[in-house]
Amino acid sequence: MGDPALEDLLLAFSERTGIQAIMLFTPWGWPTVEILHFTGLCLLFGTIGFFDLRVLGWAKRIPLNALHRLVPIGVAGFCLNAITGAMFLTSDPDQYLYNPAVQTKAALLLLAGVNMGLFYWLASRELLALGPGEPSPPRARFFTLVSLLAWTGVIACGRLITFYRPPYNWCFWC
Amino acid sequence: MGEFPIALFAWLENTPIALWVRETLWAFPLSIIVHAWAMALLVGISLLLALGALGVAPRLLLPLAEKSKPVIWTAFLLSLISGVLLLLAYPAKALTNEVFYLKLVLIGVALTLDLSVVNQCKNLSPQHEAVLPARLRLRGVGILLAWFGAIAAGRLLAYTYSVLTVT
Repeated sequence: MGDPALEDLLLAFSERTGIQAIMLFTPWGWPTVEILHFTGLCLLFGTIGFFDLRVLGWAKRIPLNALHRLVPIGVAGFCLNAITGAMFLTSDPDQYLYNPAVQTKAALLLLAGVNMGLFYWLASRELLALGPGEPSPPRARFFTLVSLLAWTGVIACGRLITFYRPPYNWCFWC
Repeated sequence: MGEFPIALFAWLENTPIALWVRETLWAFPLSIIVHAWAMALLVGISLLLALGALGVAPRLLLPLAEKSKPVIWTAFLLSLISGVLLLLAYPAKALTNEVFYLKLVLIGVALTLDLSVVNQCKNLSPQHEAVLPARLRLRGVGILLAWFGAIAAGRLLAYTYSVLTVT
């Protein structure tokens, strides 16, 4: 999987917007954006991850709606990470585009997104109408389990990005 | 910067377990993944406790506090084990960096505040939740500052080290 045209496009964007100057030519740019990226991770997992755990049976006395009201904080964390992630990607595309950990992470992000859409379409109304103590319907359990697995996978892949370049020992499609 | 016992660090980094973390294909990346998962759990539940203590999330705090301790301790144990393995792999790198000690202090403060909120909730009844005591709100702010400060310090470790005796 190689695409020099895409690489040039991303680099040009990063250069023209001044992102690259901050990320590569200041000592504080890259570390600051990393701190924000980890902060966003915790905002996302703290709200959406724990909502998923609650639906799957943890802390049944917490009202589902009380946790569900916090989902916007998770969405804010996601937006922060989409922006900071794009800052990494466009500043140094060849470190990421051909990296199987990034490719796997992108696939899991897509899965998490589609899964969230399906959850709100097919399962959320029934789930959020439940009375206190009622068990979660199987459909809601399914989507929240997929969500939990996708996000833990995203975190793992994120941490693998800086390892194994090239990762011939585990990447079967490289 | 004071004098660091470099000889001790050199001994640590040559212990069998340190060699295992550095030289096994999966030990180091697995440790760093577990460290990130544990962070997500620990800072995640602390975020919820803080939002509850600040009154941002009504009806959340009391049932959350009841179930928090096992999550906090499990996540802490996971981050401790993975953290010690990461530290043993490159002891001089972290132990000669003041930022590392700042991170440890912030984690200590953050955990203390977490547990203090959990314990204070034992004396609260649901009626109290409408007007949370000021000391609880203060701890909510402290939890957020300490945990996100610890994250910042942890990330900065990759950029602020000055001594690397093994690669």
